[in-house]
Amino acid sequence: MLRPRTLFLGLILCAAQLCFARDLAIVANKSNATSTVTAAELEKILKLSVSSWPDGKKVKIFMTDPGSLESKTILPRVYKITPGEIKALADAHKADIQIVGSDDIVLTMVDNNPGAIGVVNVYSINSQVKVLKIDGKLPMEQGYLLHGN
Amino acid sequence: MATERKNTMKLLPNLQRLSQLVIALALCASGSAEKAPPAKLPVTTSSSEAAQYFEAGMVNYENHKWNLAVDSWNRAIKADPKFAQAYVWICFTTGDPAEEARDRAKAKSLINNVSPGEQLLIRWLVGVRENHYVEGIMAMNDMLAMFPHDKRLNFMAGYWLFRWQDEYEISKKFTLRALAEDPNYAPCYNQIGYIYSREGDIDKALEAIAKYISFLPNEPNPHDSYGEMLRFAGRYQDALEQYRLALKIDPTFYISQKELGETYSLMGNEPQARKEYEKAIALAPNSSAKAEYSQKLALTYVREKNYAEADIAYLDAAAKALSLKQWIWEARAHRVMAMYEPNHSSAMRNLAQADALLSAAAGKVAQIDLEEEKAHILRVRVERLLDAGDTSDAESLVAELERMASDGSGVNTERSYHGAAGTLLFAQQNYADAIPQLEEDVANPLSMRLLIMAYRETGDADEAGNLARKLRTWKVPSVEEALAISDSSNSKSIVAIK
Repeated sequence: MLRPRTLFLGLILCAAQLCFARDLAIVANKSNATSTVTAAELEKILKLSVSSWPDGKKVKIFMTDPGSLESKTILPRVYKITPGEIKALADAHKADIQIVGSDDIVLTMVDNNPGAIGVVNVYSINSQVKVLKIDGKLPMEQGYLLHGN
Repeated sequence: MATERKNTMKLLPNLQRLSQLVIALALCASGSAEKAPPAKLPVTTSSSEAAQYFEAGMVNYENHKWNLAVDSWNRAIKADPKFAQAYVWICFTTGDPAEEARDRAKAKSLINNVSPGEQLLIRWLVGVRENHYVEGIMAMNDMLAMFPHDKRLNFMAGYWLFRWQDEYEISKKFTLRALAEDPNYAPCYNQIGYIYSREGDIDKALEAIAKYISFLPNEPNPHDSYGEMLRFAGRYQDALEQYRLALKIDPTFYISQKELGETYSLMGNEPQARKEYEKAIALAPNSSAKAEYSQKLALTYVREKNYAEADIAYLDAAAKALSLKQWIWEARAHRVMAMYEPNHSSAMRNLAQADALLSAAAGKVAQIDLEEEKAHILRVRVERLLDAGDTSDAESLVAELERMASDGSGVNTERSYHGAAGTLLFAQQNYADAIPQLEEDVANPLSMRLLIMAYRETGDADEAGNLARKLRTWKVPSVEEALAISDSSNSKSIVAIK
């Protein structure tokens, strides 16, 4: 037995054999003065249409495989291109967009690079980094752009 | 475990000094130089007696004896009324909304009296309970980074991620990390077994739980878990045997008694299920479990479509809930009656009654629990209004639910909103837009059923087939499951297909 919280009942009980995509968090280096971005601004940053932050730091992007089960349905909402096209974009800009093996690596890289921005599963976040609001919303809030299910 | 934790306990009058000492002792306990991370999360208390009760509570928790765990922590608090960690674990464990709200407030008020690691623990458990997820998750991960070798913390974080968040991948990572620290740490085999079962690998799940039994053959929970896995596999008779074995080991293990009822109910043997639930109600050690099981018993009549008897049983359950001060359960009984009630006016009366009871409970239970039940009621209202052809009022209620969901509500309120919105769109034959909404209401068989039909309407036969298979083999008893699965032609509680 693993106990359900009794009042929550069937809705969160035993989602047998279901697969969930998680909210993706956009994280930035803690020295970054930016705390919130619009979806349009984020699209430009992630596509390198904007190459530096307002304080002049160069934008560098870290993420795990955009074609993974967790990312492939959510990331295109901000990129507005397919996971394959996101990969191609990363391949074409290897110095600025790095696809790494785990969320832990993303967090460490963002922590170590003042202009870095990263994409991670919300359950991986820690205080090494700053979580950016998108259109005024944090992950897990209703209406958040990169909301999972 | 007990000995290791007790090493950090000292009687000191000054809590600030105590915190410092506790941290220092925890660092020493790690057995090496300054830079080595402390082995375990410290436990700050001014009472050695409280510390012992606290540890007993943690061990009970690991063995899934939650009522005993809460009892032990309450004893700890009696011995040390400023025992922040005991309050926060009660808040995490109790099924009593009033106790949860009270102890959460207490844990918050004591946060500055405890060590940094314990502060993170409180920020995690309180944060997620109050819908400050980003802050809560950060605190959880910071705490685990501070105590990477604390097997219990890894296990507990894995448990929270698995049970409350359906986050299996990271839950598995933490559970395996705890096992790497101690390959004989039995509760982790239970947890990993459940994770495998959610991933659809019942064979591996059974294997893990068998190992759990091998570590704790004389504990009831391993057999209870094995029974549940067998039930997921459709092996009902084998499941019943395991539950009986658990009860033989510990006749007070009320959870297995309840599971006997659940299993008979899924088997379609409702009279036997009622007998088992009666015993479970008598055995249940707390008010919330008694209130919950009374409604499980009532549900057996709904499965039989004997709505007259169901009404009697639900009214009885509501009266029982009132006497037990389980106000949300009281409101819920009326809401469920409205779900199966054939007559529209009667259903609306029941919903009005549920609303009134909920309003009367304001201030007595946690706001989040009130809001969640209110969201459930609104969703049923939407279904009933659509059943009666009143799209306009249903639209207004969906808008109200959307507002509730936008105001930083709990995940279940969000799911109620999406389920209601999807139901409305489905009724309007807007299947393409209904699909993403219904997909957000995961694990609700009523939404799943509409989703199957929406997939079919949009030509997605594969998704429809996959979900239909899942729904057919759904082994989690609930009112939604009973209504969605028992009779696909029943249009009383779900929107008729136009």
